Amino acid sequence: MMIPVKDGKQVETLNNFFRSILERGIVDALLLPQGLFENGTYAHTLVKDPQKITHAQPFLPVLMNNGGTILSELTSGVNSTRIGAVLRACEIRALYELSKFNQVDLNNLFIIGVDCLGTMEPSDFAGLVGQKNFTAEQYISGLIEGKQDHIRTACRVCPYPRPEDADMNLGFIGTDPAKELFVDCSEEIADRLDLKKEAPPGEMVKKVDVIRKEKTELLDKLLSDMKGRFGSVTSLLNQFARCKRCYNCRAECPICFCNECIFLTNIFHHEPNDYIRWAERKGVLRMPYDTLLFHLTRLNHMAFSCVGCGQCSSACPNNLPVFELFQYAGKEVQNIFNYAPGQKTEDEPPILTFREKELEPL
Amino acid sequence: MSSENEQNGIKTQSIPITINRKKLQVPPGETILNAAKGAEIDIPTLCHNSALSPYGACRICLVEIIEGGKPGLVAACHYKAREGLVIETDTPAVRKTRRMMMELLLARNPESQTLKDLAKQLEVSESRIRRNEHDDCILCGLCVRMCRERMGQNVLSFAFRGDKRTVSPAFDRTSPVCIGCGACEFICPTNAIFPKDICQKPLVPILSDFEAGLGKRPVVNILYPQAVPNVPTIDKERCLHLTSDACGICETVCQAEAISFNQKAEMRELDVGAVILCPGFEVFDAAIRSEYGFGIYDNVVTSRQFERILSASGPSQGEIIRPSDGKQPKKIAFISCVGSRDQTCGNLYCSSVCCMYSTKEALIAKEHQSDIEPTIFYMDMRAFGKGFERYFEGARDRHGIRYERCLASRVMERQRTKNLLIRYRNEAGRFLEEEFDLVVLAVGITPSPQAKSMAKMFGVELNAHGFCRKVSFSPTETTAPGIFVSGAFGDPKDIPETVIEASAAAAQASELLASKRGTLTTEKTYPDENPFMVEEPRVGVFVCRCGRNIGGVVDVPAVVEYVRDLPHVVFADESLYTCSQDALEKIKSDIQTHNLTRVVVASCTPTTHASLFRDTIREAGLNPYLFEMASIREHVSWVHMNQPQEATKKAKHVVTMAVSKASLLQPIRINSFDINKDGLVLGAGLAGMTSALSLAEQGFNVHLVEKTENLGGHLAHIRFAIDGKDPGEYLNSLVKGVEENERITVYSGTDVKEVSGYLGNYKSLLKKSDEENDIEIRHGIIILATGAKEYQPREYLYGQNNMVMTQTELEESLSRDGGAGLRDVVMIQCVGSRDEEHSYCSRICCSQAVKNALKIKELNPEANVTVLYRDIRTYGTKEEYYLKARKSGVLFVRYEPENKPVVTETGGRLQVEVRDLVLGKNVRFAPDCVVLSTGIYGDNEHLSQLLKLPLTEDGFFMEAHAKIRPLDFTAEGVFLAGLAHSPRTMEEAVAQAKGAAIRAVTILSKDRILAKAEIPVVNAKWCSGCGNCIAACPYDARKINPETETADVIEVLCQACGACSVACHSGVSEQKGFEKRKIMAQIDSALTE
Repeated sequence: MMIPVKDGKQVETLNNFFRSILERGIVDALLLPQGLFENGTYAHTLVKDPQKITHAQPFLPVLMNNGGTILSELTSGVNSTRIGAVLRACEIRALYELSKFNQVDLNNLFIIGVDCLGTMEPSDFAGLVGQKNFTAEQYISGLIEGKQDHIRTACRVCPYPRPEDADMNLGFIGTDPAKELFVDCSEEIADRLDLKKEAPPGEMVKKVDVIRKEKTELLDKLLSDMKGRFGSVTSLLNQFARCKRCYNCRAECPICFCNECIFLTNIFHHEPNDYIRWAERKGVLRMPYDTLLFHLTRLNHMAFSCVGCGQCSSACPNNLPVFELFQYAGKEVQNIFNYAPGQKTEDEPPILTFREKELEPL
Repeated sequence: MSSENEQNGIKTQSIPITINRKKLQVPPGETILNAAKGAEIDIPTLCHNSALSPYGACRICLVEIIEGGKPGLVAACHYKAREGLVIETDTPAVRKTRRMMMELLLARNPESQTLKDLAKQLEVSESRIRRNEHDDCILCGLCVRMCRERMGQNVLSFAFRGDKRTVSPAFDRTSPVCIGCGACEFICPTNAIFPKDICQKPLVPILSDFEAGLGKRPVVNILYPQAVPNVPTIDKERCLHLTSDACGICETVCQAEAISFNQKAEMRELDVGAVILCPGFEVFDAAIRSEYGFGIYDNVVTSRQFERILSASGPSQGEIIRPSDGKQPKKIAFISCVGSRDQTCGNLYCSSVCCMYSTKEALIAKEHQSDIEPTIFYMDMRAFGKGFERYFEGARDRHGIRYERCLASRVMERQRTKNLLIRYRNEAGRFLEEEFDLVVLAVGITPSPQAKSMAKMFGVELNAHGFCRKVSFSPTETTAPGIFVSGAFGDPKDIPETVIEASAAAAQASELLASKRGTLTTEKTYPDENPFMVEEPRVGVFVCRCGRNIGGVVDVPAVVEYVRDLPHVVFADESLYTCSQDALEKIKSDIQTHNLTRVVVASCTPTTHASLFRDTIREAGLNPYLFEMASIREHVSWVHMNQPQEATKKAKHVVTMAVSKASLLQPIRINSFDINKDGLVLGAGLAGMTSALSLAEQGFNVHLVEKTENLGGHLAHIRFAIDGKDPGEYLNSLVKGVEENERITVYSGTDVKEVSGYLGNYKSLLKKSDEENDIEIRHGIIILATGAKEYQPREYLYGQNNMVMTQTELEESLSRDGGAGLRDVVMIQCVGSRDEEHSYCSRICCSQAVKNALKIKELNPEANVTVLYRDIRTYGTKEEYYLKARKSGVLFVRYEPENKPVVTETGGRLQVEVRDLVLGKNVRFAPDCVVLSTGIYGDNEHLSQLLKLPLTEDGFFMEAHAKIRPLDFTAEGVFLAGLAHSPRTMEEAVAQAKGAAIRAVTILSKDRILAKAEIPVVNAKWCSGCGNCIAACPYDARKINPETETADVIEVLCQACGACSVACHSGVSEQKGFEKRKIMAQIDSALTE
């Protein structure tokens, strides 16, 4: 069903909409991106009081934290509050993936998915916001038309413009966002919001499909370009030569959920003598040590479940192709195990199961 | 200067000599070779053998005398030490002459591997001398000496002189004196002598029993690879030493001095309270069925032989070849029922296993070589075991195994190709002939003659077939009190049933002897643990030679030398056999003497020997887990037999790895847990009551829970047994026994609401239907005997016409009114079995139909009984009743599942129409009564979830291992009996029930349960609770603690497999003794040069 945007004031419409979700008791608390700051970017806010919804900004073309990680924080332990969460596809996919590892409790969660055609790095966004003639709404209109300026690589090839498996969808693709927004939810919820349940218009479905198809092609192309780049230890070493081992990628990865990374435990704490001995053995030792091993270990642990949000690459101070590597290796292993990460299914991640002949394709 | 040594009270002189500037004291008369060997100085030899007198023919062992004798080159093997002798073994002259000799030898036989290896060692690449085409023999004289000195025969000698010199029997003719022992062939280094050229008598190889006569074996051999104990035996009938005092070489070559020719059989008297007879069976002698040509045609083999042909350790290393020409057969025929179900040879029973093993062998053959086309000729496909029907259907439908229903009448050989023609009559009645490359006879099971004499000795009666006679409803009880039976001595059976009966027989013995349990055991005590062992590691390394197993390849002294310099190593030594008693004593004393706190043994494999060495260091006051083992036999000397230098290098690495780990080892203390000694038995049918009674008889209290109000389950509906015994009477005695037993508490009309806890300590909530409050009970084990249900037919007008009934209902009516008025009865088999919904055989319905058919015939011999069947599966001795039924006029008509019988009713009259496959026409019956042989199905979903136990595809509970652990679950503490496992007969259910009881007693009889030592520990502070460990654990031993949301280890269930530690991303779960630091240290030292 469509909700009209009065006088082109999208934020106001959204504010009202989200307020009603809280007020009608559909959720007890709402995790909502709000544009609270001067430079135009947003932050996730956890709202209890409907009146504190003043700058609802779920569509801003910039990505801060992955909401999946935030919900992991919010739902671990005993959670009796029904939390609504306004999330993009990559965040929802991370959320479902985390739930398979007991890091998110999906009970008592109400997921509101929003359309997203791509995001840029916060620094780029801040730069654009300062410029004259820039408005986020115009920029998004450009994205609908197929422009790709400033968009992060991960978003450029993301085939999920509209989230799947959400309890409610809030979208603009296929509408004129200045005039109306599209809401999709169950009949029961629609009733409670005084909306009338309608199927999305055929044109809109078509538009979403076209974008999905284009982006899938872009992703396939990217992956085929990657084939030569990660083929051997040497090429990996070269690709990751600029790695400072700052662990930012690990910190930002929504799937990297360990309380303490094995690379910080005493297992990888070596004695000075060890280094000297290894240096002696090889004649020369790259320092800091274990750099490639770190990436390979993370690849080993996470590639099955990589949802392609690209936070790793955004977090990298040296523009390493972390996202590309994880997507490339991830797709390879996911195909072997016939597993698609980020879906709300009973499928267990391959890493949690063992079948006798699972490695036969290799 | 000579010195005097006192040895065994006798004064022996020793003299000083010098070899390679090393001063030695040796007995006078010792050869230089032996003296050098004692000093670890290597001299190459060829014609030397320690079992034979020295001869000096080959001159490879030349050494140079420098002083103390006539200077020059002499052969070390027979030159004797004299005082003041100075010898050099590696001078230029020695090397040059040895190489020259080598070239001369090579010229006689350049192909010999022994010579090639020796040449490589002496750095000779090829011979410059012209090849002697005349003879491969190098005239080393080993065979001549062997024959004369060891075999006492003197058949061989040298003949002629100069370049015509040769080894031959007298007059160069085959010798009548030669005994054909083959020793000359055995000792010849160049494969130049063949007993067939020497011996006048025909040579008869000793055939290996294990290879079913397809392979040969030596006189001294290990019976088969899995023999227990895995040691060689001497075949005393054929041993030349034991029969003629010759040879005795084994005694000379055994470095452990383990050969004793003086062992005699002795009589011992044992006081026992019970005896279990399990002498097994014998395979039917296929030659008796001479029309199949076994023993006449080369390419007719028995199934046992074919099993060896398929085996990777078999005579052809798993390559499928046929005996006549060693070629791969394409068409293979299996003929079933050879010596089973066979009146001509007096075996009236079914051997129960041949249908399935034929299918298995056919499948494996096809797996090995996919172009093989197996055909199985069979009478009835008896795939009645758990999961067997699926297996058979898979073989037939998916793997291309052809099944031909017939009894093959003859096998004939084609003379030229040695192919075989099988003549058979197919089901349509046509006689056919078909050619095969190989024929496998699926031979049956027969009682063994030894078992018969054993039965006589124990006063045990045998049945008409020659198997052990058993007490009714008690499948492991013989007619002699206190003497029990298990396995195929009772009747033919497959592996799971054999294992089940073994447990059942043990249970019966245990019931009898419960009051004496443990009275003959003594507990081993250990000294207190050394309090200093946790301090700085002091590693002791013991390197084993394992005779020549390791020492013959790896340079053991070099390894010991190398190890001494490793960090933390304070002591290193070698021994001939580290596992021998004296070597173990030495380890203990070395621990004391050198204050060792960590021990490394470099020898064979921890699988077989770690527990022995752990126990040894524990006896010396060390925690047993301060031990590490390095495998330098399996991982080094055996796999690198031909690369001694590389092997030595690898051995050093392997030991270094063990040392680096050992220095990080910490003591592990094992937790133990109390056991609640009560048992819970779920289900009070035949199996449940039997289990409960057995547990009670063995001295344990039992909670027996039954869902319904009555005890007895299906047994209450069985009116008569196939052998004429009265099940009702048995039921009454069983119920009485249960109710009167003080140890058994019966909860009837009761459901299990909740089960928590684990092995040794369960807590269950019971809900009685008429009571408000739950009953809480505590128990140490669970026996699941919840039974199964009878299929309720929807087909064949059941429920619409009163005269369509199930076998159970028929039985009821027969016992009530003697089946009055039953003149024409049609029985339909496989109703609710072997169909799409139930793709398994219900196992008992064929016997049930035969039983009831016989009963009808007994009550009214004039009655017509027709059984419509797919395969008659009266396995084992039940076959005799099938025969009896046929003889008494019961008609058996087969139908195909695609053409099921059609039951109709016209004017109240039933009519059955079915296609008769022999006549090729539809036949009609107008019976008074149609009896449906309904199947059995499992209704276990609820319990499976409650107890978290797995089910099979067919809805029955899944045991830990179909063959060898048929009564256990993977999760310890829960056992399985009766129909909940799979369909089975009363006797089989009783065996399972008793078996499950003794399986439970193996736990209940302990005072405490010990956890495993090397279990994982969780660093809860860092655990994210992701559950990877839970998914990885096959034993349900990991769970998330709901309060902390971190992973716990249920120590009592943990089997220390380590899967969870591997699965843990962040290294939070670490296996004790295998902490990542230790593994890293091992890997690291492996990479260090």
